[in-house]
Amino acid sequence: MDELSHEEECFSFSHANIQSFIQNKLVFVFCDFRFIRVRAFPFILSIFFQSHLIAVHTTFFFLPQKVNNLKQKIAELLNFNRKKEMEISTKIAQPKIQLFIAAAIGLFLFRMIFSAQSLFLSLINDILVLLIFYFSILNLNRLLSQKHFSAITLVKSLLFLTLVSILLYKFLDGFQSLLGIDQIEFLTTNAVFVSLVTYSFDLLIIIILSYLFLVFRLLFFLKQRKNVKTYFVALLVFLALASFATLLDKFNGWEFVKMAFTANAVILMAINSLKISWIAFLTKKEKKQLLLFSFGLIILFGISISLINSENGISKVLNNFSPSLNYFNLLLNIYGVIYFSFLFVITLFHLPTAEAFDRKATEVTSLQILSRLINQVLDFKELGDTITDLAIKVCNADAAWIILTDDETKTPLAPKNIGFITADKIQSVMFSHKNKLALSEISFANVAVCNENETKNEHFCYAASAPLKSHQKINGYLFVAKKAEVPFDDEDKNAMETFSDYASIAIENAKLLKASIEKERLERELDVAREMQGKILPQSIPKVKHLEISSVFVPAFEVGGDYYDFFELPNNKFGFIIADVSGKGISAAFIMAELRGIIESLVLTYDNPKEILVKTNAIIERTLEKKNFITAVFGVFDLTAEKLFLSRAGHSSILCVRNNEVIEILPGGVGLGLTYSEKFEIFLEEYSLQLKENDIFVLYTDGVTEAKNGNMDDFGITALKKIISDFQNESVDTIAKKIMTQVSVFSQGTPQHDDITLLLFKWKNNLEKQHG
Amino acid sequence: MAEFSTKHRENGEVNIIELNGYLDAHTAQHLEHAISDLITKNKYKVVVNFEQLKYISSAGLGVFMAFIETMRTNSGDIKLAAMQPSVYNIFDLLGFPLLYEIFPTETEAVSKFNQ
Repeated sequence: MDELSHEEECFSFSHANIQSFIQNKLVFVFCDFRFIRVRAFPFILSIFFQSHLIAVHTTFFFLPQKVNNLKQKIAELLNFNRKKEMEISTKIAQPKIQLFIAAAIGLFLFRMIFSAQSLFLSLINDILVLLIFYFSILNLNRLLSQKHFSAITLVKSLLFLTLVSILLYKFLDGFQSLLGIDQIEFLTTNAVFVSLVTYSFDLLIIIILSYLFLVFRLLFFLKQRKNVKTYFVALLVFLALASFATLLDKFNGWEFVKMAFTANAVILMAINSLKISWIAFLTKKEKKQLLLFSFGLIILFGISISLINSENGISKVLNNFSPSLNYFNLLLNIYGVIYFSFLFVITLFHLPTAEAFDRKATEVTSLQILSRLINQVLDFKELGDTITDLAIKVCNADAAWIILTDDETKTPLAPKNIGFITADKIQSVMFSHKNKLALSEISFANVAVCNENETKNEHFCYAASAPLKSHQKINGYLFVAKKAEVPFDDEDKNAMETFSDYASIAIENAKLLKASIEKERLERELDVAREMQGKILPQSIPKVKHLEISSVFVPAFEVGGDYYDFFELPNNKFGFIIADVSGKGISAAFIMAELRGIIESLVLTYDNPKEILVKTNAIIERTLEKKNFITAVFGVFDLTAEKLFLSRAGHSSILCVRNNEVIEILPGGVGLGLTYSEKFEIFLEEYSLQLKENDIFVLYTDGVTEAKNGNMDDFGITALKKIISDFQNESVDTIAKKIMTQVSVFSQGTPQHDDITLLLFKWKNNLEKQHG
Repeated sequence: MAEFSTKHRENGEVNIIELNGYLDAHTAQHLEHAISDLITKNKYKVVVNFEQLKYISSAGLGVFMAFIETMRTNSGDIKLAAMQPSVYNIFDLLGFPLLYEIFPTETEAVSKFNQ
């Protein structure tokens, strides 16, 4: 009685709003107490009482809140927003298992104490069972929600669960008959051990049931597009109502309530079973598996139903434990039978179209992969491999390869399952039908004859080719071939058409990317070349007595290889060079650098223009490629003798203004590198001229005279001569500026394609004399 | 992009390459292929007809320089014919007429081979 008063204290301590309930309960406690036979284990039982009190206390403490939140919790449970579920599961992860255990212990002790069959006690009993069931679901859901399950895995787990539960039912039967225990007298026996074992079986069944329920829920919501939550909640509500209505079975004439709820639940089961939306996404193989599984599951659920419906065994145990749970179990199994019957039929109808669906699915995924590749691939080979791999899948072929039209050898790119020789044979058969490599549409051919002699691995019966077009231009062809003696059908053709379109975009993109990388590389190279050129050319114009000097250098985007330089020579002589290296870019810049080195060392020993150019030609042979050459003019002003010495190696003429007349000085000579024989020296003339006051000499590279306008006309030497003549009385700087202005006006809007170099000298001897 | 094309003809032993359009750094490769094709076929007597050529750059000139030696050592030659004045000027300035045989007409060039 000490314990009881303690219990009373505990209860009066707890919630005020269940005060009256407690009072009622206490009456029952007193009433039922005589039924409790604490014959064998008074001590153990007293310990159980202690824990029972705590358990009941905690359970009832949480109960009102829990009941209030139950609806919300179920909603949360059903909420498929995984993130939210994860949040919830992490938030209340810890207390869940404890709650489950507490509720389980609470129920056990409740059942130890109260064995009366009153409606009220049964209700409490069933509410506790519901709580355990709920906590079990929460716990399992936490485990399940962390993974993503495919339909087949879920069905397999159902198969496993039903098998386990059937085995468990059978085992329970055996266990009972072995011990010969009358389950009605469960609590009246003194064998606490037996009651504990039976109770744990009950718990196990609850866990299995909740697991079953969860799997059903996952299956139901799998791949659902529309919001079908209402249907499931409705089913859940009716399942619960029908289950709880079993409590009314005790009263005659109230069975109709249960029957009504059950009927509703069954109708909802049928409706829900029709809402399966994941079958279409399975592959043919999976559908076949599913057919087998659902057949098995129908049988297993059937067996399970018959076991639950029988008077003995599991039914008895569960009925004794909780009639509602027993009925819920029955309903869930019925749901299983209905669901899988529908599934079986639906899958059966889906089966004939499964292959077509599979093909579409492969096509779509292949295109997805390819379209992802379109923007990523840097490696042409890798792209080719992917294309041929996917082409085989998409077109149901055995081999595939690509040829590109700009590849003159027509070597198969990325061949799959086919050798070069066979591919070449098939290609020639395909193209011999029509114009060679001008097939603008997909074409098919029977190629069985052409490779009859090949080994089995290489024997292909049919082949198809699709052009890889972009901007109306055929860039190449995609070939597929298959061994089966069935020609390609319209489906294959459509698939190939779509696929080749994507593939050609991908190839085009890869090409453009390659080109732009190449362009970038070239631009960087040109930057280096321009920098080199800038360093090679003189940084400033030397000051020479009697000589006005001006120079202009405008580099082209592609470095043109123009070079000029000035040299202070001994014996009051002043040398200069203007040269144009053939070719462009970095190679021209290198030759320039070489040329500068050669000239700089030669002017230390020689001061004769012809000699210097002849020696240069001999030395440059080692550097210059056959197809490269240099045009140059080397000149020396003898400031004492007032003479100009010139030699011209293939370069443009030297313009000289004297007596208002522009003369073209054009001594004979071939370009450096044109010949390395003695002919070079023989043809190279030496030119000399006595200087007169205000003599102007203009040297230029062909960048000036060949500057183009929009009509591809040259600026020309005549225009150049005219400017020089017009401005001959101006300073050389002014003349240079005038020339440059006119050239840029002329070639406005046209890119400068070659370096422009101008070198101007004016002889001003008398000025000095006047001043002197 | 400047257009350029070549045509190949044979006149007895002599191979005639007709040039058309603009021969610059970008199109020079095309001519290079045409001539190296002849070399692989052991044909060393070449006349280049310039009648339809509108422009030649230094890279274009380089093509002839690259092959002339091979032709001459194999007792052949590259003879140039029918240049327009503007094209001839470029050759002339460089001193080509001193080293190469340049003819006003294709027939003259071919008949020079047959002498």
